[in-house]
Order: sequence, then structure tokens, then C-alpha cells
Amino acid sequence: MAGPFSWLDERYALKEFLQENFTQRLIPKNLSWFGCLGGLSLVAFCIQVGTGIFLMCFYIPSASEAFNSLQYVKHSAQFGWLVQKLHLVGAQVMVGCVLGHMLRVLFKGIYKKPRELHWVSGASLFLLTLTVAYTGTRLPPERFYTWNVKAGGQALASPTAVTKYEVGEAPDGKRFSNYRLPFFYAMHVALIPLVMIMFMGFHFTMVRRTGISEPL
Amino acid sequence: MKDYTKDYSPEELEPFFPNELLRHLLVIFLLIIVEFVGIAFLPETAQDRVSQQSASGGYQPKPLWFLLPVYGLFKLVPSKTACFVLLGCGAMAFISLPFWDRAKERRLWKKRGLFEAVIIWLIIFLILGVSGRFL
Repeated sequence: MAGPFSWLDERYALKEFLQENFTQRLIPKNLSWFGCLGGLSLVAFCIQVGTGIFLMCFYIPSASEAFNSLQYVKHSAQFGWLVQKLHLVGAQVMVGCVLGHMLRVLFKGIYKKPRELHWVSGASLFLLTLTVAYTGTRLPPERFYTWNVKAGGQALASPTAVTKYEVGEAPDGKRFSNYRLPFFYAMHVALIPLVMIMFMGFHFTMVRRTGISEPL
Repeated sequence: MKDYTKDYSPEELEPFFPNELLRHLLVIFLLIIVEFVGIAFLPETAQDRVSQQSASGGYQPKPLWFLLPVYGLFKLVPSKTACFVLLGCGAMAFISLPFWDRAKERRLWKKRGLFEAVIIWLIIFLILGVSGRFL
């Protein structure tokens, strides 16, 4: 065999890896289709990362610019409307997949010995998924005053009326600062996804080690 | 990686490639179809309505469906600290489930007590979600 494959095989034993993991691997028959929900959650996460990177190229995490940058993505950037909506719908699909996977594991008791830590990492991933989705909902300007900031909404819908640092007032009298948006943005695009990737690595390593659970 | 040939007879096994790989590809295509159906039929984000209604100041967007129970909790319980304590305790109990459920039985619906607790927990979340939608 010649070409790039043999070059890679010589250095990284690619053929052996493919044989062990794909072509010569045997698995139990009649696995449930619902067992795919965990893998689907990973695919949904990858779609979110891909569409998120696209949106990062345009989105400006500033109270005065967020509205305009999102308008640009939706109306001017090529396929921007599609990617933005895919990111929005993908978040809901991902939460649905993770929730379905968790409920299946819970009802079938798949978290029992020796899979306790699968559950711990999976449940943490579920909570992190909700958190990353929440921080994402705080980024579009129409969501700024969803939970605790009401007075700012009126100004935010009109970007020219936004002051430099203080953009609204919360019901408890605290000012809604422009610094809050970069905080949510950093959490949404960097910190939480990194922690999720760490937990995923842990989760998949353990799943590979113990294999799938026996049918009930 | 787990070697299934030790625990299963050859008749009970099948090749991962192409059988399982094709099954996975099929469900991935289904996922993509679901996402595109969502794009086509889910309503537009609240942004346009905010632009139209912000002048009157009467528009209050709601969080997405999966955040509604937490939103409902914050609306119903006046103390923010109490909400965070409740959420933290709930999350800890949820994450540590395998360590306090030591029963040999795996099936949840056969376990008295835990099954009822899970159903009550789901109903509470449903009620909080509905109240979050309408409060």
C-alpha cells in the first residue's frame, strides 16, 4: 500500500487502530436504537461548536454593538440566517438528546456498578449543557432583560440609545453593566465548553472501558 | 476497549462495521432532518417582536422551554438565595444518585420509593415549567 495512508500507518499504526475500532470490532446484536441518544448528543454538540465558531466571527459582545452584529449575521452574512437559526434550534435539539439519554439511563438503572462515575460525569454534562444554553440565551440583545433586567430592554432594542457602561436597571435597583455581556460571552464560548470537553473525554473513556450495559 | 467476545457467543455478536456504523449514520441524518424541520417551522426569535413592541415597553420575553422550570422557581420563590440553595441541593442529589441508590434492582419502575420520588420530581418540574410560561 502506498500513498498518504501508508505514510500515516507507518507512524501512527492507523491500520491497527481502524481494525480494532471499526472493521474487526464485534458488538452485541439487537442493541436498542435509543442507545444512540448519547452519540447523538455528541453530534449535536459538534454542530453547536461549528455554528458557534461561525457566529463568533461576527458577534460583538458589547451592549451597543450586539444588536447590530446579530442583524448583520441574519441579514447580510452569506447563509448567516441559516447558521444562526441552526445554532438556536441545535441548542434545543441537544438538550432534548441529553435529556432523553439521561432519562433512559435513569429508568433502566444503567448507572449501577461499575458505571457510577458514568452517571456522575453524564449528570454533570447535562447540567453544563443547561448552563451553556442559558448563557447563550443571554447573548442576543432581546434577551438582556429576560430574567432580572427590565428597564434596559427598551434602550437595547434601539442600539444608538445605549450608554457606554450602564444599559439598564434591575428590579432590585442595581445597574445592569456592559461588563456582564462579555462575562456571559466568555462563559458561553470558552469556559463551559472546555469543561464540557473534559467531562466528555472522561465519560467516553469510561464507556469504552466498561462497554454497553447488558439488556434488562 | 471492552472485548465482547469474552462474554457473548459468536451468534450473539455482529460486526460494528458496517452494521452499527450505518445505524449511527442513519440516526445522525435523522437528527439533521429534525434540526432543519426546526429551522423551517419553529417561530423566529423574539428579536423582531422586541423591535416592534419595545416602544410600548410591554414585552417580556420568556426563556426557552428547558429553562422554564428554573425561571418558574425564581418567580415563585421570592428569595434568590433560597432558589440557589434549592437548585444546588437538587443538583447534588441528582449527580450523586448512584451512591445513595444501593438497591440490586436496576429497573426504576420496580423500585418502591425511588420511582415515586422521580415521578414527583418530574411533575414538580412540569408544574414549574408551566408556571414559568404563564407567570
